[in-house]
Amino acid sequence: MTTKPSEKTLVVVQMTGGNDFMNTLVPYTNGHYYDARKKVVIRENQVLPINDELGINENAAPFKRLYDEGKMAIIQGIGYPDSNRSHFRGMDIWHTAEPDRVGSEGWLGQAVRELDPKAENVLTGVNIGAGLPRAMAVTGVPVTSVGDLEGYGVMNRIEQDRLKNKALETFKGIYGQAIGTGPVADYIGQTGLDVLSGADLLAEVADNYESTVEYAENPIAKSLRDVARIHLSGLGTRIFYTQHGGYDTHANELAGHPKLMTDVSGAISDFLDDLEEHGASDNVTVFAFTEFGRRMRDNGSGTDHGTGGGAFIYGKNVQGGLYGQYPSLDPADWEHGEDLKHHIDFRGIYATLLEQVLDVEARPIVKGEYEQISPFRV
Amino acid sequence: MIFWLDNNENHKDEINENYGRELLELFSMGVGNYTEDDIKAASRAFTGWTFRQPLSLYPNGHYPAEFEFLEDDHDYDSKTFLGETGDFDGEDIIDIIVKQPATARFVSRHLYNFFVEDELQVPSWKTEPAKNEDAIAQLSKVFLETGGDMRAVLKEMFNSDWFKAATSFKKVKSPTELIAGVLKQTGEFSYPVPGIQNFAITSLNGSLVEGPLAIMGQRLMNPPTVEGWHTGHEWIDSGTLSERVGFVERQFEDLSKPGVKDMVDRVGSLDDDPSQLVDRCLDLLGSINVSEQTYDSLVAYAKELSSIENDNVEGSVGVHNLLQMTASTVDYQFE
Repeated sequence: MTTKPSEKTLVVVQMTGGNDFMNTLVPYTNGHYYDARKKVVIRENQVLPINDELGINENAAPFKRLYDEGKMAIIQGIGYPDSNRSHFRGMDIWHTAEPDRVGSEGWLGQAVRELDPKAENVLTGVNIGAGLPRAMAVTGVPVTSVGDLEGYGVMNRIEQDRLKNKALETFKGIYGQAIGTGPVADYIGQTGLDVLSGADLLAEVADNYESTVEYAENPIAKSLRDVARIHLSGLGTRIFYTQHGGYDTHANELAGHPKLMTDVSGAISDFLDDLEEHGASDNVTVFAFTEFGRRMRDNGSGTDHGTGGGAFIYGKNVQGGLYGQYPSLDPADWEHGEDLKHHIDFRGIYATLLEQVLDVEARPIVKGEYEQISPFRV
Repeated sequence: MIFWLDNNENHKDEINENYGRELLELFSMGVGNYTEDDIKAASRAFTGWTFRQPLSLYPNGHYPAEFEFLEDDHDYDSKTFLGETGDFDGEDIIDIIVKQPATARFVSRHLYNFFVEDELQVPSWKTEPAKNEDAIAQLSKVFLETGGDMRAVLKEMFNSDWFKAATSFKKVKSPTELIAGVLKQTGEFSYPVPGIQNFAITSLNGSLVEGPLAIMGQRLMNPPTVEGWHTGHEWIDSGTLSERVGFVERQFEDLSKPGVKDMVDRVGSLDDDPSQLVDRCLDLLGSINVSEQTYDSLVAYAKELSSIENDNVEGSVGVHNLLQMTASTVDYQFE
């Protein structure tokens, strides 16, 4: 089952570790910022101003371009209630949309189930990278996870046709027979069959793709290039997921964070350019999020876990600009000692993406009604 | 662990609960067996436990830190923890934790999960019974009787009938176990030599490519969360399974590796009886138990390999193809 890449598609980029929102969208004229950030600070001459108060970190110049072109919506002060600043709890909450209990079903896995209830296409949801994020995991919902696109599938290295056919047939037989012999063997058997179906569809992806866009050599660029290649093959994928790691900048932030900014901004803008070149940019929305922001004060070398971060929505269909308010930097407004207060519940943004991008009812997934924003052109 | 859980930021006047919380939640008792007040008390008891970095961490490399207790930063006031009151420090807290039946049970379940068979993921232990409640009760009893003497608990486990009866094929191999097992069989690395680290490289080290261990979902020293990796069948998804099968394909096709050549020689010739070929493959790859259907599929595959060889089809086939298929089975994913 393949479709043209004309259906609306969501690409999620997880910035793992807790991106320093204040050093991404910098309040470069605010005294409280400079009071709190003695060393891990972005100076006025290091920002690309978007107005008199806020500027984009100069290392993320491609974001400034996207912002100026109206293709980037910045969601300021997003978070979840009662943050305990824990990575694993934080990511769990973002993945399952359940801040109050330990959820077991990923929010995007549930969306995949809605989009493809009979599980007809193993590529409806595709994760690029090693290991399936919990956001995509729901028991019984096949989601393809591609660690290495060129190497995806089994028995790939056998060149001789007759042997290859027999090898695939044998593999299929062995994995198919495992189903019905116990819950774990069932799961592994079904996964083996899903690999075969996915590999058949993905086999032509590399050959089909041509582009003049030259992505940089780094992991997030490689991942988004893989997203572009699969998307442009028109295999019916509605949700892509990928991760960019390294944002847990407790130490040496000024050495590490600039490269993260360069890499992620370059990769996202190259990805959008690539879609544009192929006339496929109208229906693709990129959502970049992180589990939390960092604290107001730096620790001399980096920043510790905080709350009240930022998220971003990119795409040609996006109504660019600022959404929500920049969290107040005034110490009188901090919470938990020195955390920024969030104003936008992340579940409202999920609901926005589910209903306005994927046409999936949000309520059962985010478990309630949360205020949506309107970040898309009408 | 102090650094990992921020206890160096846990000060007398500014409590950081990360260490106290995770000690209870992840490393001793499990959620639901203590209150938020207990977490606060434990955290206060650990104030002043920190480390110092004799040589700076950057930019010259990684030097080990040393434990340090800062008396001035320790909260000496009275605390009430799990029903006991006193001016506890961190060691007192650990002594109290070890006396709790919840700790004995939680640690026993971890040991059973690690050594015997895959249990459900830890967060569900609060509500779901253990697979072998008798075994857990037996270990918990020894734990409580010996004040948490791990040697005594392990001895009890290793000598038990259920341990001896259930030592194989109840656990999904972790990526590390799978790769280490295969590398041992290929005989390429008899001791740690340069090059072996390539199996474990990840983009987190600045590498542009991910090594097989990372693609299989396990970046060593970098678990996805403080909770660690989700184990058991959660090691497997379509991408990690592709890599598990792809990895054994790549390893077992290279006859220049001494272990592969040795195995191929010992399996024999494709002209031999196909059942015998399969038996030898299963034996050489680690006495694998396979289902009857899988066995029959492997025998049919062995016959086909022989037939392809006899038809002189272009391209080489050999018993290594049978080794590859045997190591690609569902059963091979278990240990």
